[in-house]
Amino acid sequence: MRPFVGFVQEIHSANPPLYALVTVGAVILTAVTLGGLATRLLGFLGAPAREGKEVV
Amino acid sequence: MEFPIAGVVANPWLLWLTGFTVGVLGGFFGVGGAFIATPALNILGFPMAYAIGTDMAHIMGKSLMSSALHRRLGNVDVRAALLMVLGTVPGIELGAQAVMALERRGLVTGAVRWAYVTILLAIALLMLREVREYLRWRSGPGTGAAAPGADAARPGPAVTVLRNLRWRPLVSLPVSGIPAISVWAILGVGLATGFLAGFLGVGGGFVRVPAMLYLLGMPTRVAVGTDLLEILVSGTYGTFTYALKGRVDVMAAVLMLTGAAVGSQIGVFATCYARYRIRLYFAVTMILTAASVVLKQLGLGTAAAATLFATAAAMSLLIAGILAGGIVRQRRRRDVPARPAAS
Repeated sequence: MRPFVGFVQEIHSANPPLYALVTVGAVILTAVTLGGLATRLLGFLGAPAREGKEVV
Repeated sequence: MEFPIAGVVANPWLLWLTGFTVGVLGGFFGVGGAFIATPALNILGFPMAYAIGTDMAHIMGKSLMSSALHRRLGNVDVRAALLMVLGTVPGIELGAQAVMALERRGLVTGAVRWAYVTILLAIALLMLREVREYLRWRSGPGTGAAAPGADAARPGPAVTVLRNLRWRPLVSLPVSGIPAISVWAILGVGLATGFLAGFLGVGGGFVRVPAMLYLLGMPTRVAVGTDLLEILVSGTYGTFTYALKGRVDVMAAVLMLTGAAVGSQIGVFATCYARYRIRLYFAVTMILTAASVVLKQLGLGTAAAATLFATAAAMSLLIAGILAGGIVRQRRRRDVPARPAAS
């Protein structure tokens, strides 16, 4: 965590285009990883998993 | 916890909770949720430019999660979303130009706030009327007709006019159940909603979802899923451009995303059990948001913020309740053994 914070702090002022790319990349990576984990967790609890599984 | 990019010390749990709440509302209503998250970040100490940029990054990640899940549930019309984006972008620019023109005349704050209130209330009334008709239909004798406001119901006059427009090229939207519609109709709706988004300074989900329902006649869940995909496209652009200017705190955005990861899944799955309650809760949220804007216009900033956050928290709890109730009912139904055939 600490090296990542140091890295983003450094590029934030020194290299804005790289900071923008790292930001977008970090957000996508977090969303994909955590989104997948949360979907599995809720699926395990019984939430509908795919098309055609709706219950109203 | 210190967030060195924005130069702010903030409580990480409050950031997580903000992400979670906005995630639930976004997944359920198909909105970005900037109207809650940006003021929340600002109250937590982030300067306004960082609040907007950080919120943009968090909304982008949240929309990625929610739209992927909605796509799996068959709720995303990719073709409609991409066509609408083409209309939305110039619309936002026109809206921004209108704001600049009003600013030069010193009229911008009042005009934008009252326009915001009028639009919120108009959308809310439209949705409440439909919910009332649906509840009347449900409690009355069965006629075999489709429920008012239900996806299979007779389309309204605006939908009929736009769908009968024969300006070429025509495009088919099978996911939305539209066999053929003029591309110009979709671009026009995108342009109009983009203008409102640019004029009001919001992401525009709360205008686009009703527009997809009442102008294009898309099913509710498809409108929600499709809007989230559009928010993903515009949010990615917004995140990149704000980060380029150094106005995104990536650590805060990632922390909010951890809350949104759970919240958005709850919101998306709850749509499977909600039916008319999506429109009912959307309408209530719009009315209370309008009330908070009126309070702000009257100089009651604290009461306005309290109304907004209380609304968000209450709606998140109600939506989580819909999901929990739905899962419990579903499990009970599974546990009931099949009845033997009557002899």
